Amino acid sequence: MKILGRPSLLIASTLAIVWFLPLIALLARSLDRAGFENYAAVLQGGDILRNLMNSAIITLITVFGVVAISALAAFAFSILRFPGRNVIYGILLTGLMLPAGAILVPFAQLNQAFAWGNTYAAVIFPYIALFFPLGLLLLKNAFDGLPHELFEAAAIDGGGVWRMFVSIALPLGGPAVALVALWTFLSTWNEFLLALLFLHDPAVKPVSLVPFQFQQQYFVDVPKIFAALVISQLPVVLLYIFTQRRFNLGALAGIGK
Amino acid sequence: MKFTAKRNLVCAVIAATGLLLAGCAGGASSPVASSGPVTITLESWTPSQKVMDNIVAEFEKENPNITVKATLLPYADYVTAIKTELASGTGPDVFDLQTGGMLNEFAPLVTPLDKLATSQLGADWKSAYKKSALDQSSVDGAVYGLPHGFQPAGLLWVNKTLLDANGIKIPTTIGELVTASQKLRAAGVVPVAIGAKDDWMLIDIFSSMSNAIAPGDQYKAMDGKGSWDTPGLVKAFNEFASMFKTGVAQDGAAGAATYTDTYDLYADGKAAFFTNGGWNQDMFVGAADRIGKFDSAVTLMPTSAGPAPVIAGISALLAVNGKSKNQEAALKLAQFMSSGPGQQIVMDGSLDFSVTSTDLVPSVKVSANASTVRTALTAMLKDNLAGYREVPNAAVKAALGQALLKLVAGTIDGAGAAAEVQAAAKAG
Amino acid sequence: MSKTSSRPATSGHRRTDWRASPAAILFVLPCAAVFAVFLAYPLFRNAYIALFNWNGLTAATKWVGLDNFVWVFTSPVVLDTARNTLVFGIITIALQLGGGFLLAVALAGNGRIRQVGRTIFFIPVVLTPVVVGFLFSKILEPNDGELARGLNALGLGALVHPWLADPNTALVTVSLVNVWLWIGFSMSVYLSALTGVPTELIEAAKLDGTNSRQLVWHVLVPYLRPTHFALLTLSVIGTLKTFDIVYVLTKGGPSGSTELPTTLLFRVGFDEYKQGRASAIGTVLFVVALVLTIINLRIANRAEKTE
Repeated sequence: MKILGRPSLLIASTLAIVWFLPLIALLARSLDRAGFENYAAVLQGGDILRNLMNSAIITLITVFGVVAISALAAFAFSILRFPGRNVIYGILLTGLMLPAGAILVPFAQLNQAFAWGNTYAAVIFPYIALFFPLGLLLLKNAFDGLPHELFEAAAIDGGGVWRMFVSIALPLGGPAVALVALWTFLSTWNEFLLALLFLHDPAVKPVSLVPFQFQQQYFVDVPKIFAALVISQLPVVLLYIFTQRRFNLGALAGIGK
Repeated sequence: MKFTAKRNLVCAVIAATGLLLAGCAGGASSPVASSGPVTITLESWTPSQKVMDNIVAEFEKENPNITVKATLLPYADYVTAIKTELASGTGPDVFDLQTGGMLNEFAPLVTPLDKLATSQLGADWKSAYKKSALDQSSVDGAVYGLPHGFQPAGLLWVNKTLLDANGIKIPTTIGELVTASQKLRAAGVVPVAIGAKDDWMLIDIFSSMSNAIAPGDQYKAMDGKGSWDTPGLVKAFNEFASMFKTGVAQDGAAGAATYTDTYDLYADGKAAFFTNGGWNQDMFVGAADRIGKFDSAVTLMPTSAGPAPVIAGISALLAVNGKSKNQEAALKLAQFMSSGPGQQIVMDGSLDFSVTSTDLVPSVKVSANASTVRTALTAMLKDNLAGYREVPNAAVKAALGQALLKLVAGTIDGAGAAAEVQAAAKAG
Repeated sequence: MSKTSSRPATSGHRRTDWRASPAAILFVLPCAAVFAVFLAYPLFRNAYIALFNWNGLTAATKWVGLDNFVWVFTSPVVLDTARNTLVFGIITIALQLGGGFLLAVALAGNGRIRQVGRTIFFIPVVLTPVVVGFLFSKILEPNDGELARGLNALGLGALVHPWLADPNTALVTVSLVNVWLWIGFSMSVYLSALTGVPTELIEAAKLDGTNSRQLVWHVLVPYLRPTHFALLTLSVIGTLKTFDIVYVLTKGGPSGSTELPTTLLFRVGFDEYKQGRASAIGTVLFVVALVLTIINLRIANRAEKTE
């Protein structure tokens, strides 16, 4: 629904053009000196396709993990009742406030204990831990907003809580679930610190490490580095453009409650 | 050689004893005579990916039982990564260390080579390397890694073509450099491209300058026999800072990284001077077409006390992870890269100087310009060398880097910088 | 918290039983387990490390009790990061929330142009901060970067400045890049919230003759208060956790002018080999984030109750 008229649109559009300029610079720089040759060289270099695949695997598993555990817990906190419910919820939410950098060393020690070095697990578990609090927050709010009569009706019908979860909460909370999935996807795909520290085997490196890797390979051939950057970002940008309509961040708007 | 037979027998006995002792020591780090195929991992910040691929290919040809997985990262990220890996027990079998502070910190996690190398490479394994290189690879007399590469640092690369076009002679004092810089700026040329975002670059420049302005003071301070706030060193700090106030350094130097901001400025012929070390010779291999458009030379850093001597050290040393399960194979790779055929490949790719006792020289064809530069660098190493390059204490090195960065930013003066470094040195 | 009644209108025991289902434990267990092992344990372990001097590498440690924490609260270097966080946070949050809100209002509605505009602002959000940092460090290069060249071409050469290299301008520059990166996010949240505004409200206001400014300021802003608080909370937390973009752009320099607690933590741990201090910073940072969030939520709740 349109709110403001032409003048505001004009200002916003001008701003949008300014906003877009850096992206044009990115593309321009990737074509410097050798043109599309840069892209060819990078793709032939071999690794970037594997990096993309690694990113995809790590991200999809993380997204699934985060959605699963936060939906389950959100359901319990929102719909069920048990002692200490609010306290435990609050405690779990503190995970939102922990910067990854602060717990790098303990993560390293955990990896050593579980012998997960250089495997996907070395980053997947920390990612799930770091990203589930936001999912929990969003989903609990979404479930809070569901009409309770539905659950009452299901209870009368003799359905168990699991069925309520699967057939009522999840479907109706769909938009929020999609949001959590998309947001976790972005956060995981773009994460570089933990990946840099824990994933060294080229077989498991994700695409977020591309800038560092290509600095070594195309040492002084900066345009190729930019070509690699564009390639590494393309999947996510395309994903966003095609799923735009679903990207309803309304669920975030209500978390103050 | 006359005593070959006897020497071989002696070696064999020592080797056997070594193996026996190692076997008795037990534990995961005892070298197991591997009969099956092994895979070893290597990590470093150098050389470039292409050179590394060549080395791995050659090594695997010679050692069909060993597969090598090499990972390269830019220096700063490499240090972060290797530290975390070693702390979480996932470190590679073989990795590079810098001499000085880094070596001192990492030594406890690395296998001391005296036993391992003797048993595998023979009792005279040390003779393959220059003594000074081994010294830089040792802590308290025990060798912790095989040195490789040697380069002078703290010198100036010169675009002679640009200088000639502007009628400027190579400066030998800081005054001449300032005048030259002003003239170059007027002509739209970047005077001295300094990657002042890199603390290591600033440390190189400062360390060579200080040895002209306050000869010996810095080494005394670094060796724990003197302090950092001598009048001479304060003067050196101030003179260093002056380069960023008198227009000598390019605009925005503080935000420029050597790789590749200032490197590009020089390689594209936009800067008359470029601060970088002897390793920059790899330009003649990696960016030959860009560099080929003008004439390059090298010269010593100009100071108020005349040209400053260079500092030099081994590029790095290859160490074997104390927790590696393939210590033998790891050492083999390290030896291959530092004094074996691998070193030759590195030399051809980066035009390093060698640390092997029998000097290796690059076997690739390079331009005439590259040869003259190399001759000049060799002369510098022979006649204008002040001493070692790497700061022995990691905390002091960090403080020195931070102080120099602040001098560049202009937030402290020479006395302040000296005081900061001295404080870190005292805190130990 | 939940607005729905906690006592369903039922009669008899049986119907309330299902809410007290013992299965609740199973629902919460996965989260709790992940939290305990991968968040709680590391947090406490980190606080424990902070009680020692340790180089982060070898086994040698030395007990120093609360020394490292004292250092955090008294060291000028750490206090500088607090100041930087404040500046960075104020610029970032003000521009992102304010700008995001205005953009949402201007770009709400259908139509090609509006849609394209919204997309353009959101694309930076999906980019990796590392890529953005690398890109902008080149764009902002005073000798050769796109911005410098553009200003020169427009005759505004006087504005060219070593933005990232000058300690006086670096922090603001980094903050602005951060705004470029994230404003699309706030805009999107506001856009979604705006879809919940009843059209009657807006129609009525327009019929009353309210002009745009009044519509925005007196109708929409108050209506979206919960959203403001939600975004504020998330932004404060986000600011305190910022690391990637600053690390790649300036690594905390020049001269510590862009040093945030997270980048300092990194430098102290990895460059100075003082893990104990780094851990102390991390622990304090977490506590500060916690306190600020609680305060924020309290204010939000109180504001809501007065409506």
